[in-house]
Amino acid sequence: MNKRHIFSKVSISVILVVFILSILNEGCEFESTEVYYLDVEKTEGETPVAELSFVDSVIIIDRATLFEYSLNFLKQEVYQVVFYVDGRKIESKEESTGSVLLQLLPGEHLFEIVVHTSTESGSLADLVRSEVFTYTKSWTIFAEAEDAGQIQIQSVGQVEDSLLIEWERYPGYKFHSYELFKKTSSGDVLLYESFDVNYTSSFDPYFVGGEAIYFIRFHKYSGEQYDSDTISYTSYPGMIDLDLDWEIHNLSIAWPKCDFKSNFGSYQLSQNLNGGPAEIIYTTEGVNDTTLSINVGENQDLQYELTYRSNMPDAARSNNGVYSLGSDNISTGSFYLPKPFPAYEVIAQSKEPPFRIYTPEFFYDVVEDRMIQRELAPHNGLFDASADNHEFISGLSYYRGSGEEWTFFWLDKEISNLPPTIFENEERRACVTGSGVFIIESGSSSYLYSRKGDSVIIHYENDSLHWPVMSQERPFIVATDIENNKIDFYYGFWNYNGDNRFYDVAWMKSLKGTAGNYVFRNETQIAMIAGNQLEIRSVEAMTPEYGSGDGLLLSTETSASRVVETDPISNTLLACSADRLYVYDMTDLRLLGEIPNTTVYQKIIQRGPRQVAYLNSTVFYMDEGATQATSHTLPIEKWR
Amino acid sequence: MEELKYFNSGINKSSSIESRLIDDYPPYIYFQPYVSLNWERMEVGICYSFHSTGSRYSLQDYSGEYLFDTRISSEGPAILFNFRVFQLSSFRFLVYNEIGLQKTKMVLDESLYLGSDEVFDESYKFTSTDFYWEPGVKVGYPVASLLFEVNVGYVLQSDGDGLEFQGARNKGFLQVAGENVHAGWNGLRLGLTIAINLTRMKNGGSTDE
Repeated sequence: MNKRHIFSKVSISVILVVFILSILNEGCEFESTEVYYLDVEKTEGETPVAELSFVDSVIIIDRATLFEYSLNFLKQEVYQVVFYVDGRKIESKEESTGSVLLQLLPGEHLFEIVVHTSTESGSLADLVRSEVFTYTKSWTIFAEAEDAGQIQIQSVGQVEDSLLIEWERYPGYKFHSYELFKKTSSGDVLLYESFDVNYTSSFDPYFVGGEAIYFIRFHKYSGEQYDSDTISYTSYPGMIDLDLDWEIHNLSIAWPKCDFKSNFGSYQLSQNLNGGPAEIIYTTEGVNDTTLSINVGENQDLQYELTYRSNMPDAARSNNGVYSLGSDNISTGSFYLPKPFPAYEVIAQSKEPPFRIYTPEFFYDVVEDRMIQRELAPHNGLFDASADNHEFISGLSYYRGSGEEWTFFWLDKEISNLPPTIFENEERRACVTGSGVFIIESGSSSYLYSRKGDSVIIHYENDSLHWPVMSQERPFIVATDIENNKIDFYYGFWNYNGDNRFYDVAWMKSLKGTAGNYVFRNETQIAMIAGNQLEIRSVEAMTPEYGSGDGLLLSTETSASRVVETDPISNTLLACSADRLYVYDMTDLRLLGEIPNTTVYQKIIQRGPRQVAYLNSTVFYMDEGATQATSHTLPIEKWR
Repeated sequence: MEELKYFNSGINKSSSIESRLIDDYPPYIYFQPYVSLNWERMEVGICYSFHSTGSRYSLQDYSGEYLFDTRISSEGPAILFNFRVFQLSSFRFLVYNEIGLQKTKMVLDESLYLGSDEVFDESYKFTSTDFYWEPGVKVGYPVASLLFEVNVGYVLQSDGDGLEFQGARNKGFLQVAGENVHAGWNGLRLGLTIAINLTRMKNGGSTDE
């Protein structure tokens, strides 16, 4: 046998055997193909009993908030509770009861809770917890920063002639209201309240100037409130300006215009005179009326305060809406200019130059159409009796001072040697002649005096000479007999008692007339009222030399009750009733004119609606409703 | 396979999945080619054998499928000793002994699929190498150069260390109740053999050598 042939055959056989073995080996590998199929029924998910912190679908939070949940299933097991915020998983829990802390950035968020539970179907997926029921619930959460309520005022400024306050818009979601407050001396005043989150500005209708302090109070609907920082706004328009014109006694008061026209209500000027109480002297609603010109008196300490007032009805409340520019002072000092005087306080007047009007504190010299104030204090002026410029005596001034201070003047010369009787009674009137004789009525008596050098000589007491008037150059005296209700006419003469020279009076005639109502028209004639008759009588005609007649020259019916004055320059006569002033032409007693609602000052005790002081053809009168007579002059010619 | 069956019995108890045991190491066909030299009554040879069996736990429903499969196989060489006891007509009655080495491989494969998604699919491999001795009897009947045999034997496997886990890093033995589990190929073995008598093929079937 060929060995090579044999091995060749064996090799083929081995290869064949190995191949067959491999196939058979593989074919003998155990393989299980059966499966066990279990028919499982699918289940329906339960409706859980859930208790969740959030009930509403929209939630607003302003701080870290704990969301609590409790899920109760009858059979199903809670595998996982997953919480998402804006789709991002923030936490997951395996407990059916628990909580999660929500710390959200400010803004709107979608908060979602996803619950996975078992199905309890018993399937393979259920067994390995891969088969779940999923419950989902979501909320829209508006998260706001904890300090979202700390809004601040952004600006305060003038807009459209008013003051606009703007504040930050509340960036959160718990908005309830804004309140704009203004701090005043009386507390915080609510200016504006808004329930709209977008309304973030308001005008201050009260602001007219000065400094104002505001703050915003923000309310959340949950009840919290926050006050912003205060912010102040100042607008100082300037000061009140006083400009005194010494020439015309005029004080010009100017103040800056209110810039807040929309809020403006009025300017109010108050005056404080000599430290007395402040008095409102001027009010105007014209925003452009920023000047005032007034007459002022001499030696006055004046303080003026200008106040802006808003047009709000309750502007004065809590000092809100009132702004004072402050006050300025001025002292007028002395000047010789026309000025107001309190007519109702006039207690005496002189008939001859220098014409004078006396008030309790001042007397006024009238020069042409001006009145010049003179200092009288501390005296209380009582009377003045002036005669023509005579070489012997031209005038008499007497003032009753306070306490023991007394002054008695010849013109401007003080007389120190005073008869003691002058001081014993209350003096009321005086009259003087050009011959140096004068009569002073004091108490129930009148006293006749004459000058001797720098002294005064008293002649005698006469208890019948009431309301005496004397002619300047002629020795005629007219007085009232109170007891008999008559007008007595006397003749005066110098008499001698040994070496003593004294002045004596002699009765001439008594006529019917009104007590005190007589004025010498000239040296010999007198104007008087008897009943409803205005008469002009000649005193001279009553003397024995002229036949002792009644001297009646003119007579006319009149409504006047009192003769006030005669004016030789204009040849007019003034008479008055209780509320009316009459002007007569003395030539024929023709009524020239009258001023209604007028009370002549000389006998005025109470104020009238229109008061007039008459002197030397010029009438100084008070404006209706005013408290002082002004320097307005009305020449008597214009009455006609 | 008693130890493995015992191991199987514990599988279901320890799992929440109530799967069902479909196969539990059933008898399975094996393959054993051999080559032998024959003398008058004696026959000596070598063989290679391959055995395989396994088990399956299964549960399938609408949601998925769970399988716990065990496949165990052994292969290895052996020496055959056949002794012809007597011959009746053409039937030959023999006793035999087979002593060999077998390497056992076992794969545990547990998987769960939900739909097409794999939940888990884990495989663990164990091996063991043991000696075995299989005494038995066989009856042969030659037809031309072919020889048909039927044999019955009983396998006695030596207890080695048991099935050892073949992990990449971890080593260990498959244990049940603290005891190593052995492959346990012991048991009755039936075989059907078809052999080719190469000598008879060469001589035209005139001699046994």
